[in-house]
Formats: sequence, C-alpha cells, structure tokens
Amino acid sequence: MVFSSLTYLLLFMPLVVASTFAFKSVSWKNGVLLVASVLFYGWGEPVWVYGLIFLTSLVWLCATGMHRSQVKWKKQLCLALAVIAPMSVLLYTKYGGFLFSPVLKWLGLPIPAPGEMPLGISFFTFQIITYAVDVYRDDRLYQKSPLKLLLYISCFPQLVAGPIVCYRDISDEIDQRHTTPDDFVAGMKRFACGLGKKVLLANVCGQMVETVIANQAQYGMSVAGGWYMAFVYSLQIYFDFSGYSDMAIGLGRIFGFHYAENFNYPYISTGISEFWRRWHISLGTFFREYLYIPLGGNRRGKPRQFFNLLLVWSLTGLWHGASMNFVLWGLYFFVLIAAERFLLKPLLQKLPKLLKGITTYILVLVGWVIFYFTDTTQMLAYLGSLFGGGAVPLYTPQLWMVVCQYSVLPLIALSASFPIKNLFSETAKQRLQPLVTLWLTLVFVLSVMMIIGQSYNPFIYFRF
Amino acid sequence: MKEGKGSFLAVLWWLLICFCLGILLILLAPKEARPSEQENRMLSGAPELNSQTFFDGTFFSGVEDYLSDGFFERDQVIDCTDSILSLFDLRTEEQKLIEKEAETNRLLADDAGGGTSAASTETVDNTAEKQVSASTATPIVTPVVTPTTPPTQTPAPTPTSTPTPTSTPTSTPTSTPTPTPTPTVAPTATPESTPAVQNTPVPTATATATPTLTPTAAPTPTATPIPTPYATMTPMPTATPKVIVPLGQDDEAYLYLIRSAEKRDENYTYPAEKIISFANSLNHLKTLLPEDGEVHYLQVPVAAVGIRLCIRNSQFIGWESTLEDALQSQVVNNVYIHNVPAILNDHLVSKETDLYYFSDHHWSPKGAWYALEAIMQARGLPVVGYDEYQYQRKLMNDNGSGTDDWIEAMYPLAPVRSVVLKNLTDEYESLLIDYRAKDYSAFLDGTKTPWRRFDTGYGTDRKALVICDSFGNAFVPYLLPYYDEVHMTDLRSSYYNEQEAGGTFSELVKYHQIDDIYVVLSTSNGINSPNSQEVFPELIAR
Repeated sequence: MVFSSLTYLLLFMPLVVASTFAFKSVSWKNGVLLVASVLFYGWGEPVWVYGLIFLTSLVWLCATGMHRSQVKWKKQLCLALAVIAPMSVLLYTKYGGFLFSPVLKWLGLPIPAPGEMPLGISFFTFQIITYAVDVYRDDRLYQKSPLKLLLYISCFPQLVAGPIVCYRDISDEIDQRHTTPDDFVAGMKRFACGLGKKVLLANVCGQMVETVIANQAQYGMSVAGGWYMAFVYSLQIYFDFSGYSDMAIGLGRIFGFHYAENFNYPYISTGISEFWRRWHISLGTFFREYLYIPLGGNRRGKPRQFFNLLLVWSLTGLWHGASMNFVLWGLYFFVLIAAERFLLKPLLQKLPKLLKGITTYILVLVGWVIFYFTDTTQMLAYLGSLFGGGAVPLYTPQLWMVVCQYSVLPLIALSASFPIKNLFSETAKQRLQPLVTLWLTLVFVLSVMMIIGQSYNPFIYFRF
Repeated sequence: MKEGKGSFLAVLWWLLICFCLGILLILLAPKEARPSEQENRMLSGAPELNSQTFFDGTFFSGVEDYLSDGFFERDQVIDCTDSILSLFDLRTEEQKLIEKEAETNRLLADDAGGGTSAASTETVDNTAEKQVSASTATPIVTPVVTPTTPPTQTPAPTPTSTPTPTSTPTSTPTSTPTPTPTPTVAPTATPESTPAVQNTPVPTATATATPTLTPTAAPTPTATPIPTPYATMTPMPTATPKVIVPLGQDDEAYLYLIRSAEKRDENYTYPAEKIISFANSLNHLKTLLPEDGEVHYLQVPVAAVGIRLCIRNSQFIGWESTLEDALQSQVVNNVYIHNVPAILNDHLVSKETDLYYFSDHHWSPKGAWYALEAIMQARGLPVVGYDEYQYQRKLMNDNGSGTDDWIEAMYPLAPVRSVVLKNLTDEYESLLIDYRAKDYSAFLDGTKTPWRRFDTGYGTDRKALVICDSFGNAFVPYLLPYYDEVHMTDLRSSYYNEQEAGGTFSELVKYHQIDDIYVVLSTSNGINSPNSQEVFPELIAR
C-alpha cells in the first residue's frame, strides 16, 4: 500500500488512527499498530510479509543469543548471523541478477528478475542490522518481546521507504509513549504537507521530466534542455522522497514516535559533504555509524580514510539500485567528497557562500543525470550534451514550448525547497496557524483529486 | 508549537469525512467494469478475490484501481484538476497546434524516410527538410478517385432538391465530370510507405515552422472537382405525412444478446417514455432542416465486457435490437433509424471480430464502414469500398488484457481541410489523423469542441452535421465523399459549450446551412443516458 492511494487515505489511515486513539494502554496501541503494519505490508506483498516475519524472528533469536551469552565469540557469531541472514536475502533479491547471476546459475537457483524484490527490503534490512548491532554494543537495548521487535521493524509509517530509524532512537517510545492533541494535529499537518509534496509537486515535476525527455527525443538534445531536465528532475526526486519522509514523520508523530528528520533543505548546501548531511540523513547516519566509523573512519590516516570513503560511497550508490549507473553515481560523489576534503578545502574556504552554493547545486544536478539514466550509453550522451559535447546546440526553439507548458511551476517547486518558513518569527508562525491549517486542507483535497486521476503513482524510493 | 483546539477538531472532522467517503465508495462504486469516453479505456470494476489474485497481488492493485476508477463524479474531478494544471500552461491554442503539427511532420518524415527519430540530434529545420523531400517523393497523398465507368453528366442536385418520389430536383449542371459510384483508389503506395495524406494546413505562424504542410494539404472546397454521388441517388421511400401512434406507457424495447437458441440476455432495456422523448428530439432536428433534409440515427452497441467476451470467446450467437423499430414508429418522415446491431450482426456471427477492438470499447473503422454502407445503400447512393481507403496503422496500447489492437485510421479519399470552429467563425486548424496517438484518438485527433467542420470539396452541394460521441470519429471519414462540408459536434454536457460555440444549436444549424443530420451515439450515451434525455433535448430546442 502507498500513502498516496485512496485505499490508504480514505480507509486505512482513518481506521488505524481512530483505533489507536481508542485505546489508552500502550500495549493495545502497539497491538493495533502491529496488525496495521502487517496489513499495510501484506497489502502490497502478500507473500513477503512472511519473509519479514521470519527475518524478524531470526534476528530476535540471535539477539536473545547475544543477550544470554557472556562469551564474546558466541555474541559475535550471533551478530554475524543476524547481519548475514537479512543481507543475504537483500543481496539475492535485489542484486542477484546484477552481481551474482553466473553463481546463481551454477548453483541452479532462479535468478530474480529486476523489480521483483520485496517492497522496502533495503530499508527494513538496515533496520534489522541496526537492532542487531545496537544490542551487540549495548545489551540494555535487548527487546524481550518479539512482537515489539516486529513492530519496530515493520512499523508502517517508515517500513517501505524510510527514514531508516535506529533502534536505540525509538526503543523507549515502543515501551512508553503518549500522544497529545498537539502531536496529533502537527502530525496530520506534516502528513498533508508530505502528501502535497509528493502528489502536487513531485508528480507534476515527473510529468515535466517526461515532457522534456520526449521533447529532446523529438527535436534533439540541447545544452539548455539537458540542464532544464536535470533541474526539474532534481525537484522531482527531492519532493518525492522528502514528501514520503514528511508523511512518515507525521504519521510517526500521530502514533507517538519521534523520528529524526531525513531532509534539511539539501539544495541550500554550500558543499557536497554538507549536501549529504542534509539529504537522506538517515542513510548517511547508518553508513557513518555502522560502517564508516567501525572501519576506522578518519582516525587511521588518510589512505585508510580514503579507502573507507570509497567503500562507503560505492555501497551508497549500490544501495540505490542494482545497476551500473548507481555505482557510478556513488563513485561520482566519492570523487567530489574526496576532492573537497583532501584537495580543495583551503580554496573552498575562500569562496563566497553563494558561489559555493551554486557550484554545489550544479554538481548535484550532474549527479542526478547519472542517477536518472540506467543505460550508460544514454547517460554519457546526455552528460556530454550538458556541456555542449557532440555539437549539441545551445537550445532548441521547441524547448521554450515545454517551459511555457508548465511556466512557473518549477519555480514554485524550487522556492518550496528553500527554508522560507524560517523567515517568520515564532510569533508570526503562531498567528498564521489557522491559515496554514486552511492551506494544508486545500493541499490535501487537491492531492486527493489528483490521485483520483492517476492510476499509478509510485514513489521513486520504493525501488531501493 | 501549540496547536489550537480548532485545528484539532478540523483534523478530526477531515478524518471522519475521509472515512465516510471511503465507506461510501466501497458501497456505491460500480462493481462492473465500464468504458470511459473521456479516458478512452475500461474503468476497473470490483476485483475478484481468490487465492491466485490474493497471492500474486493483483487483488490489491485491483482494489486501488477500483476505488480510483469508481470515485464519485470522477470525470468532473479529472476535468477540475486538468483545469487547475492548465492555469500554468502559458501556450496559446495556436502554439499547441503548431507543436502537434510539427510532431506530426516529423513522424511523417520518419515514416517516409524509414528512419527513427528517437534520440535524433537533428534540429527542427532538418526535420522540415526531410518532410519536404518526403512530400516530393510521394507528391500525392490523396487517394485518387477514378471512375470505373464512363462519366455521366448527371447534374448534382441543388440544396433545394428533394430526393423523394414526389420531388422534382432542380438540377444545376456542374462543370465537373461526374464519375461513378464505385471509385477506386489509385494504387500509388501502401499506407506504410506513403503516409502523408491530408495534412491539415496550418495557418499563419505554422507556415514557416512547418512548410511541408501546405503543398499537398491545403485543399479548398473547390480545389478537387470530385463529382457528386447524389447523381445516382435512389430516394428513400417516404410516405405522405406519417401518422404516429404513440407507444403505450408500458411498452419497452430491448437490445438482446443471444447466447443460445433458448437464452438471450436483455443487455439494454428502453422504456417507452425514453423512446418517445428521444423521438421528439429527432423530430425536432428535422424541423431545423430544409424540406429534403434527412435525419439519421445510429445507436452503436459498445464493445462492453460481456459482449466482447462473447465475441472473442466464440460464443456469440447474435444480438437483436427492437429499439430501432420502436423508435422509427415514433418519428416523422425523413427521419431514419438505422438498426446497427442488425447491420453488424451477420458480420459478427461470421466471426468478423475486428469490428470492435479488444482493448477498447469503440467500434473499429470496419464496423463504422458497414454501418455507412448500409445507410448509403438504403439511400441508393454508391459506396466506396472499405479496402479502397488507405489506412494509417497504429498499435493501440495494450491495457493488460494480453492482446494488442491495431488502430487503422483512414485517410479521406480526397484532401480535406479540418477546422475547429469557435465563436461561430473563428477557425483553428486541426488534424484528421493524429499520427502520434496509439489509441482511439488517432481518429480525427479525438473529439474537438465545440464545433468542427470538414471542407471536402466534393461538389455535392450538400452539407451534413454529425452529432455524436466518440463513436462518430470512425464514422465521419467515410461520410466525407457525400458532402461538401461535414460538421461535427458532441452535445454531451462535458463537451459542448454554447457560449464557446457562438450561438444556439438551431442558430448554428441554420447558419451553416446544414442539409442532413446524423446522430451517432454509442449505447452508453444513447437513448437511456441523461445526456440524450436531458441535455440533448434542451440544447437543440434553443
């Protein structure tokens, strides 16, 4: 099930919200949420829901083993099993066809087709790993109840597209939490905001991207067309994913969970490292805390740091998809970050902020072009066109038609990616509350209307 | 931040509304799949729940489609969101048309050159050059109508002539040789290799952008001297003032689907009240026409799921409609009700299943041609053979049913100019075939509102108006050889806007000097529909 579907908006959400509020006891609330989460996942993946339950049970057993054992190697064995089991499933279902097809063929195992991987497996696998590692590091985090562990892993707001919630961050709230009317309203507002971002901005930007691509296929590529497409796609992917994160965070708040922010206006960054501290924060946190730092981080000399970065960014790229362009995309950011850290630091410190901001955004746009094209030849041709390669004209007259077709919409979307609300004081924000409520109501109604006309509107990040 | 109590109540209220809406949707959304004229596809019905659909996930996706396709006033909601989005579209209508034309040119040039355009780096100028050369290579796109028998200098009847046995046509000799009833298309090229046909001339600004459109494609009504088929017309039998015996209140007519010798399903039931009301509308249309003017009504069954399944599953025994006879009994002279189910029945029984599409609810050109053949034969007019037209073949999108459909949009026999009319006289060029379309909108570039005119140049001295839903789009191209001008309008509430049209319906009919009116509606929009019962009578009465 997706948040931006009528089934969810008109039936599932009101029913689940009402049911959780009907109970005062946290145990009952957890029970309702668990059933709802299993239903939510089972709605789209009626078979893999058993896989999710199986993996959770296995990790719970491993964690119990860690908890009960006093011997280090036994704990390590349990941890290894708890990490390897879900990772194997992830590797097989997501990367089987891409990385291991000869091996699978030799073993006589079926090669999974691309796109057939279980929904949200990249996200819940990482959540399982965070739990296992957290318990290994701190035994107090051990969860006695397998059902509560299942609730943490399968909790539907963040199950299929994140944010990746570390167990230690919400372990207390699983056992003890309470929701106030303020939480409820703020959560619903955040949800409506996210829904609007997804349906009204991301989906429309998606249409724009398709129009630009179709226009270029028809009239040929141009430098301006290439940059325009990259610009619009950057907005699409931002609003798509941050919209989902907003919905997840809002829903979490309704149910009493406080998830960490996943986006913090990434397009105002003045450097690539800063961009990644603002973009998909939970993924960056995961790789930093569960891979980069355990590998030594930047404490073991520059060559090791260089290697650690290379590994982290290769895996970051690969995490986004089983395709060469994602690996290249990860390596592209590795090169930029390495250059920023090891070579250009003194120079960058002297540059004005605005220039750094624009340069960063342009570099990110190039990254999105790599991200967009799964076909490497097409991607290289497109990258070439961005810089006028292959005698590509500066612009085609037909591009103007596309710009006119959507006119100010990209600019509206762009302005929404800046922290405009920070310009208002807290008092002003308080005064504007009724207007904001009215505005978000309108956004919600418009979003539902748009959904009615859209037969299929998947989130981009569902495929990861 | 502190949220107010009002906000809390508002959110609660919204959640409640959402839930009630969801429950109502489940209870009231149509359970059966049904066609959507607006979206040109089958809207989803309630999904079937069984172990297979459950485990492969299709049940769940089916529920999503069911709820969104069955949403209350779905068409209006979509119109509304489209209108909101169109607020951001700064292109003028003319620019949109230019863009479409340019794309059409490119496709034509590609077809002619056998090349592909994807990822092409050619500029539009190159495309234009390509198009010029394509046009030069095959200068005639227009299928040439050649006489198969010596021309007879039969004068064409003037608009005042009445094709009734009692009338004496006042003929006006025409300077054009009158060929024959059975014209044939010069076998110059196959449709695939010679796609350029009737490209519509684009006014003003387009001329520079798409220079290729003009040479072959700017016919004027007098440019192509094609003789009138009315010369050989055998007037349809009409009686002296007809006495209409109103149907009884409890009378009904039916469209039956015959499943076996013993079993026939009533697919549609038409109560007398609705038949009489619609007959009155048709009679009123007749009053707007000249004395010899004719009104023809065709109600075409849609390829609804049940019917289509029967056809495709070879279980179709036949269908039968009693509506036409009932309706004919209620209309005045010169109003003709054509029994389309009867016309198509024999062909369907003999397994000519391509009269309908598999992945769409419309009839195919062949189905439309059979209907036209029957009408024209009844009128004693010559009929151009189905295979004598050239067709642009397009693969219709597969809608998941596992079978593709080929759309065969036909070129008119002679160059035809197609314009959309707004405010009575404002003309906007439009396409006759949308080369990009991979669905039913390939025909005449889809429905155009509020009024449309085709200038044919056949020199028949007659003008027709076709009042139709989308089923008229496959029919009209075959009607062109019989008229100088064919007008077209879709009077359904979501399509027709009187203000935009520039006058009331009767004013427009008189202004354009319409001689004959054809009403072509699918069963979805036919006699039983609110459009035919409420909107249609009200509009034509003004």
